Amino acid sequence: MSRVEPNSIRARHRDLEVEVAEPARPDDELRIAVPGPHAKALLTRLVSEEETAARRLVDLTVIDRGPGREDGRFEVVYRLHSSTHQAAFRIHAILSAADPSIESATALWPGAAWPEREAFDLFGIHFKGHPDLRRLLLEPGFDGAPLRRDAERAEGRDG
Amino acid sequence: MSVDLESSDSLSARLGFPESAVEVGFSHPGVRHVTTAAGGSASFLVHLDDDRITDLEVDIGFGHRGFEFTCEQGEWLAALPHVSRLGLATGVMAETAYCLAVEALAGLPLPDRAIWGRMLVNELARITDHAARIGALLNAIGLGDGALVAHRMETLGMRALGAATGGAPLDGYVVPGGVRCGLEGVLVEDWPERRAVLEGELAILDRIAVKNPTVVRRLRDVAPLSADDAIGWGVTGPALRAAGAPLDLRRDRPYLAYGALDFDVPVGEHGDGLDRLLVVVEEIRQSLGMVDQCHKLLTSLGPGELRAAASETLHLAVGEGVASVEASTGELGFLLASDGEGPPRRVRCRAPSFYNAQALPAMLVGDRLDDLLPTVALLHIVGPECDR
Repeated sequence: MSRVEPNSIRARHRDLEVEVAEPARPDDELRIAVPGPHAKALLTRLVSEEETAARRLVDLTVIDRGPGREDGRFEVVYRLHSSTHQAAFRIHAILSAADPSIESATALWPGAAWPEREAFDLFGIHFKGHPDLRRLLLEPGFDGAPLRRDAERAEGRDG
Repeated sequence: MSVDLESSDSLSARLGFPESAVEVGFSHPGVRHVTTAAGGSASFLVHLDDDRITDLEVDIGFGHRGFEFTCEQGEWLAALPHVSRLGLATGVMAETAYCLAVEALAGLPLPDRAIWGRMLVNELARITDHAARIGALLNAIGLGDGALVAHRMETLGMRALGAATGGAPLDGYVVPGGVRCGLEGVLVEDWPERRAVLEGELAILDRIAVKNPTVVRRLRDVAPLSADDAIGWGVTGPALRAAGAPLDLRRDRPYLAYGALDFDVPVGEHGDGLDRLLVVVEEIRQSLGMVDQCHKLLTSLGPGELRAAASETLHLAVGEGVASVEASTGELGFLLASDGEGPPRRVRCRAPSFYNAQALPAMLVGDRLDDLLPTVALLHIVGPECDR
């Protein structure tokens, strides 16, 4: 089993302002934080370069760090897997509260279509260039983004 | 009306009918039956030319329980009953993934009995769930006697699972830091007997269904998906392996003690319905062997510690914990974000059915309307997994 060294990621993608966390165990998922506007470029490299060859998008989701965080409120999280290196990567693309938008990953993986629609539906993240960005789970007329931390919640329910 | 019989157009076109669209689900009897755990919570809008599928829209979200939202409201342990309910037999697989992610955040070591006990129930659940999907498939193509055998096998699997966990389904067997009970109850003595019965049912199923020419004709070249397309759409599990990609987390990124187990990863060639069925049947055989190995080791370990002592009160680190298991339908994973104290910041479930359902149009356009339900049955699209 081969691995991808955090230092090689730091060196290769320094121009994209990546921050690579030191994994606790050698075969842990490698956590890479990147500013939202650079996320697409980083993903494209991680997929196409032989050193990483992370061809499989495992999952795509959003973490809301809370309404108090203006600069880094939303993180769009991409989990990737490389069968070639048996390595796993987790890319946290940092978005501000003021502009929760990011380029769509559907050009890299058609399978990003549904999770991006879901993130749009439940977190109100806008994916630029998505071929069919509309609600996936909720009804078309629904107002709001229910998984956001400051979403309005029904009376009498846990807040 | 004159009909041009020489034309290569479809019969609908020759008779002057426009293309039609048919709504299948979400409480269509066929759909209800094939999405067993869902009670039918997916809907399909099928665009047709004759009975040839020209376009397919998959609609999910009818169950809408707010699963992730609910998990983020309470304490970490309070999420477990919701996690179990992602599937019936497969509940233990979801519990395993969730607990592995919590344990990664809490730095909890697992006792041996818990590691091997979890693998045992995961493989029993795989046998049960695979039997269920074969039953749903055979129902969908109208082979009732085969379906009866498969459902009998599912029941036997569920009973064995109950004997191991104290009462399947939805047993809450897997808990952070360990498992809730040992095998000293029933399974230690009677696993060999249960295994023989399961094997007998599988042999019958093999003879009357898997090798049945009708089944072979109904599935060969139906709903094909190449390995590249499968990876692109996020398809995992038997459907991906049937397409020829030998990807199995139990072997590739071993969790628990799967690295110590002896098993094969069956792989198909064509990625069609028949290959999916053959992979599923072979996986049942492999899982029977894996249960044997876990049972043998657990018997030799005897009674003892089942749960890490430190697991009574959870102290979670700030950060994220991730874990994925190879569930019967594919990769089932959790991404948990923790603020240290208080309820989870984020509970995200990577559900295999969600991604597999997304690939249905890529598989089925060009096939016949009659191929829709067998394909959904064999992929085993589970409604609660698709919802959030």
